[in-house]
Amino acid sequence: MLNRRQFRGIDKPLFFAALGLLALGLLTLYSASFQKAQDLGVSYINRQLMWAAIGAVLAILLVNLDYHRWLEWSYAFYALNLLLLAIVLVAGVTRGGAQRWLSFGGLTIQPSEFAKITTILALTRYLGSHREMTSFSWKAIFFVGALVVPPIGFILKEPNLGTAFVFIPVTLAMLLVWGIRLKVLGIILGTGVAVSPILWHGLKEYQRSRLMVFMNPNLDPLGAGYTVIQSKIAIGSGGLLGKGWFSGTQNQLNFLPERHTDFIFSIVGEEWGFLGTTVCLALFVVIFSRGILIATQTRDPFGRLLIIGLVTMLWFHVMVNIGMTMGLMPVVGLPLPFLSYGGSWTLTCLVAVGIILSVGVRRSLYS
Amino acid sequence: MRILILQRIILATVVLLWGALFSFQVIHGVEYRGKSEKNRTRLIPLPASRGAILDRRGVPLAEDRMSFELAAFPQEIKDPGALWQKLQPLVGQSPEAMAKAYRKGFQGPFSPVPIVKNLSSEAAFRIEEDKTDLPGVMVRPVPKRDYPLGAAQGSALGYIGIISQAELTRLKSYGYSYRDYVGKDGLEQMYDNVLRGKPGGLLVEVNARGKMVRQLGFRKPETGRQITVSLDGRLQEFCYKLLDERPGAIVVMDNATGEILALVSSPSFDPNAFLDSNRSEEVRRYLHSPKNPMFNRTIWSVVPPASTFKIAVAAHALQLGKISGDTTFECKGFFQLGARAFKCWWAEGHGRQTVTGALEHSCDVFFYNTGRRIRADGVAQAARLFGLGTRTGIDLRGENNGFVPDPAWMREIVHQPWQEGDTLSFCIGQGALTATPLQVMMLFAILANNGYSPHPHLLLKVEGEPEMRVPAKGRQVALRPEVIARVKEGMEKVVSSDTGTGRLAQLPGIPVAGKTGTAQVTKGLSHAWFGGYVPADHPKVSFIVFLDHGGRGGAEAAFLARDMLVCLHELGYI
Repeated sequence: MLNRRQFRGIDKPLFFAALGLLALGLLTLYSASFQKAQDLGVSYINRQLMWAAIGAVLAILLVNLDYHRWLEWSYAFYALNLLLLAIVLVAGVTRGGAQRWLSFGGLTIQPSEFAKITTILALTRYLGSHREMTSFSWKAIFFVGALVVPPIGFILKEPNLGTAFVFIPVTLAMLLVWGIRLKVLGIILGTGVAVSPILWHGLKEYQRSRLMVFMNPNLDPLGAGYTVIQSKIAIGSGGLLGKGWFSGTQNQLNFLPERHTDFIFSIVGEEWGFLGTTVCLALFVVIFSRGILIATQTRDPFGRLLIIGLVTMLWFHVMVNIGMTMGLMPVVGLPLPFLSYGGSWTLTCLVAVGIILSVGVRRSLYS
Repeated sequence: MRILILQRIILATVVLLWGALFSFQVIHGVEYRGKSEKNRTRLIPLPASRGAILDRRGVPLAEDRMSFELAAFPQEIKDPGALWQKLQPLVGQSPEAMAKAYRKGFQGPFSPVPIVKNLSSEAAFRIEEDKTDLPGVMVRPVPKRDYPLGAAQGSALGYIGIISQAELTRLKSYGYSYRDYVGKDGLEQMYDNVLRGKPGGLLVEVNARGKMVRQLGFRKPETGRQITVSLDGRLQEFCYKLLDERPGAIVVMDNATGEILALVSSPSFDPNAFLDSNRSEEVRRYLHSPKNPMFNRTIWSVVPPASTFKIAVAAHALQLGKISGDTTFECKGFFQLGARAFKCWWAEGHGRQTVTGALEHSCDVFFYNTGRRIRADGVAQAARLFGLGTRTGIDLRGENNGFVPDPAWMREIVHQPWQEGDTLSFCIGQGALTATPLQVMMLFAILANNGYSPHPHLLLKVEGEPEMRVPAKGRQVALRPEVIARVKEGMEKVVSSDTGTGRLAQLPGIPVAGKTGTAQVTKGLSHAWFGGYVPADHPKVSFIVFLDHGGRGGAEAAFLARDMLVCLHELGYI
């Protein structure tokens, strides 16, 4: 395990911020899932605790391991993950009209969550070892595209619009930090905007309706808009100090569906108020800024790219998830890091933190 | 460094998000708190029972009883069609009717919709037993107005119904609201503000499916106050059956107090029908029938009082001294006025008649002569002294004034000169003179009371208020005792004499005084009148029997009056 010397090298604010968010998540989850757990006889809190524990152990192991070892294996991980994504489409478990899960006995995993990490690892390996190409970037763009498009394609097919979309800001951020010419970046963005109407036609009916309802939740107050309306009421009604743990009426009286997963932030807002949401946001800011600080301090371009990818991934989840609970973003089903219930997702977040810390511990070793 | 660009983007977006949270939770927090309160609470209105209407013996004429209502919760119903099918054998109503009630009553996903009203208790129990198989429906007790005597009292009591838009506009400031039941006619309308209760409510916390989680507040519905009226249900019912759907009216009043013992209009309506959705066809018939059952003939109908009016003319002429008890006029069966002969109803002629004889035989010629002595204005004065042309002030809405003509009216309004012939028809109660049955009954009451005219009324007592004293609103008509004695003698003979026009109303052992009337009409049978008071020697009760196009007063009306008097006697009023 972690010896004292190694622990001293760990970035404490980041470490404790992650722990704090995990604790806040568990407390909120307990309140949010208590009734459902009683009704269904399933203990969400125990499962989440189990996953958090597994994730924490994994994170500590990752801190100990040199992340370069992971990068060596990154293409293999990437390929394995793509294979899993393909299997999902063939033999995955379908819930709520989407085929996103793989089930092994009692264990259900969501490969698309892991794909966020494996794709970042693969991108890091490719971009990190092709720094000389920055002057002429088109070839790099092609390879980057070749790495990113397959997981996006598989995940869109599931379908899981939100998760598929995560790869785009992550890739752009990594390209930016990698040193891509801004003109090229501009062309990529411009192309993206230009093809978006075509993508609109490629969307499933429910995805389109979600986007429409995002523009105006009152289009369908009892259907697709219901969750957003109720979530806004939950957050807003929390006020400055909140209604108190286990006292949120929107929560306890079942007005919020999905409140233990994608809409857990609504419960934070309702029960802990502006005070709670501020603390929550502040902890995220600590993770982002400490991660970026490590990225600027490390002499290793691989480590830097890795952190940028992971921080962008976490940041994007926070923005979209919290934004969607307030009706500022479309409901695309992105979970909130460290707080939302879900094994694969919790593991993904803790692995991300482990890797960032691992880079931090070794920030002065490489040149 | 490019990382710093990224860092700024990240920080800026987080600050934006934080600002949005501040706006949601701090700036608009109160507003959203209100929304969440509205979300979780529901006000379930609890209807209040309406106060009962009791007759003079304390027997209910109208009272609220608990009835069962089947209500559905839209939130919990997945397949309404299948549910109605399942309910059909239990409640015995067609699925279409239930679907229609559901559509009509639907207000929102959370508010229960009444599907079947007046559920039988067996059906209610069956549904309660099968409750687990019937999700989304419940049986709840609701007060339902019941009128045990049905149509016998429709006209006097009126009915209740959902408040109309016009009524709501008028009554809103008195605390009435949408979907309230309100008295629509008769006593129900007159005393609605007393009878109506104050609806209560249950404030409950509900979950997202609209299921009650706990009770937050409760306001008990306040039952309306009960009133006691002067009617006797038994007499009311008897009189209604007596008329047996013939168009007409019977009013019976206690002479001393003005308390109305019976107020019957026929044909009438069953107030229960208005509260039963299965009887809408019947209600439609009430509203459109040419027989007009909704029409309260006792106080709305205005027809010529005919010969009953002669008692007022006789009294007034005697009072004025224009005739005396000994004055006689010769009746040859007609009265010659210029070129025109005015007939007496008895074509052979009554011969020489005194005032008592003229009343007994209802001799028209005697009254033509009397009328000419007191002139048209004198006749009009007689009518007004006895209260014609003015509402009696009974506590029911819509009472008619009736009409008393006079030469001034003829000149100013009709623009025609008053003819001598007009005076002749006027003094035998024909022509433009009209009165309601209640007004005509008052002619008899005034004479029975030796000139005292009581205030006819129905209300005796309001629950929670002291017993009402006899309203001192009565009026005294100045008549000398010998005048009264003379007219009374005539009225007694109408019944007691074997040649009297009202002899059919004779009762063994109880002297009856009265006067018949037959109002000629241009088309169809004449209107039949018989009014009077009993017992003739010490009057307790006055009455009127009116038959709309019913034939001759002496034959038809007096005949019915006799049976009514027998009933009065059996009930102990005389």
